[in-house]
Amino acid sequence: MLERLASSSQLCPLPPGVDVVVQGSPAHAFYAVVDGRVVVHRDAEVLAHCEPGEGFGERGLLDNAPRNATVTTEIDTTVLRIEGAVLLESLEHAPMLETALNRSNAGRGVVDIPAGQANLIDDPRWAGA
Amino acid sequence: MTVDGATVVVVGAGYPGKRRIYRRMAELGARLVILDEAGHWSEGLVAEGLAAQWLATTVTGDPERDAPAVVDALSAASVRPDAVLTFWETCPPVAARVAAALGLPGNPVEAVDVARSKLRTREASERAGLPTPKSRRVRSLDELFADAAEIGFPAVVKPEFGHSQVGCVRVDSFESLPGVYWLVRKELETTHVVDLRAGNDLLLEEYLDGVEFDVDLVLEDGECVFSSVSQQAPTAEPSFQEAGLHCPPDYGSKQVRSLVELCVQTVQAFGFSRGVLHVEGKCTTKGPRIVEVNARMGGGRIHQVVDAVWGVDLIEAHLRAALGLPQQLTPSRKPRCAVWHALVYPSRSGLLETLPFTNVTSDVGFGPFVDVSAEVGQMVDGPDRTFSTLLAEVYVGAKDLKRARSLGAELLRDPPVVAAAATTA
Repeated sequence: MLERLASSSQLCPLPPGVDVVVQGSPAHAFYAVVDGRVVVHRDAEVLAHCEPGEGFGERGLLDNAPRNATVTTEIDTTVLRIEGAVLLESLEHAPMLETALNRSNAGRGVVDIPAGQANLIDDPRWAGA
Repeated sequence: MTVDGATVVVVGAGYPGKRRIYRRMAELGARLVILDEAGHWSEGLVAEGLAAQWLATTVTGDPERDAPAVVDALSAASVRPDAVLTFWETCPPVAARVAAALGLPGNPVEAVDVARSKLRTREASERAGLPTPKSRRVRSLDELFADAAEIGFPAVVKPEFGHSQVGCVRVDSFESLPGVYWLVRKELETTHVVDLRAGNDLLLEEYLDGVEFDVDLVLEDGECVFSSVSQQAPTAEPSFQEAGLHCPPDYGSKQVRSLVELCVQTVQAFGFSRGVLHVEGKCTTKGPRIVEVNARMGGGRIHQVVDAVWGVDLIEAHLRAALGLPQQLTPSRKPRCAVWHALVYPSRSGLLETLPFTNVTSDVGFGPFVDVSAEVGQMVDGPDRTFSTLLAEVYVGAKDLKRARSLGAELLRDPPVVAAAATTA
């Protein structure tokens, strides 16, 4: 399973200002920040920042829901992209991965989510805040 | 109404090479009023005697904001134009809106907007039932991968706005996708021909094989009254940086005719009815396909090329269309001569040490023209950086294509010398 995940993953070095996902579009993949920093924003309001070791985008895959925020690189950034279909297939074979994914992200406590911003973006850290 | 003495508003003057166009318009007797951003080089055209007036205006890249600013500037200066036009890539949507607002002749705003956006070009072409390459707007890395899975490889990534294949790059695998952001951005940031303020979404398109052509059209009352075809030299993929062209083409005449027919059908379907248009297309193994439609005259010296080969002055044709005057074209039935054109790039990245050109003499009096755009001593990018630095453009005319090619080869006999970057650091 890990080999399958690894083979469907790709490191993506990006310049600043690239939208990795955009609000309202279908979810296709899960992303983890390997290097650099991304900003999560919606309607010109900054919701959070993600730094190396943090991931985003799994909630849209798990819920088959459109992205409800945009994530943009702030500086030269490398993200690890895991193809959504492969991630979902992996979760079917190993349900504990989903729990780990949620726990891992929940534990990271990404920066200050404003009160009342729950369910704004397709990430459990923000959606459940 | 005549051209002589007409007040002609030029919206957006473009790069300094466009001075040739304004000189020709002044020769024809047009009284030019040029509008551009404060501090633009074109302000000097008044002192040169080529323009009667120069007015500062706002240029944001958004035609809905820029057009009213132009109208206001004209009103404030008490200018009552007889025509509004542009020869600059980013400005047809503004010029079309200004012409419409002032009740002057012009193409429909909708048609011009469709041509400006490559995505809308594809959508309109598909709606018209014309052969259309698969195309998707890409707003994010997420969409880039998803759309590539749908379109397949090879594919082409390009900016939504732009022309002449600037910033276009072929992609052959998922692994190559993230790199396009670096490549396209770098190219767009260093070019003057794409206005990033107009938006920088990318398009992912089906790759088109075959030979590319520039098709310059003159429309009058919705009909094509003249066309000139120039055949593009093969590009050094994965970039699609133009390598040069020759006019007339020496490709299969049947295929070229099919492409011209498709170009005319396309611009008619979009709603264009008048003036000079520059369409780029390909004769592919699946038949003719449109690459892009430009609601303006072709750039560079293409107007001089068309004049030399066919005896048609595209500048005058565009001017007459903007003034609502009937065309007076008397194109030659056979090519008067052949023109060969090449863009000169470095063979590798590094320090440009020499940029030599050999003296040649055109046997038809066309050129040689050498338009240098780089300076000896500057760092230049070669094919290893995908998008190479343009060093110069050369044009030469001769009695036939064989002779023009021969003169061109002689002109470029000694290649530019570039010291490798590593040894110059």
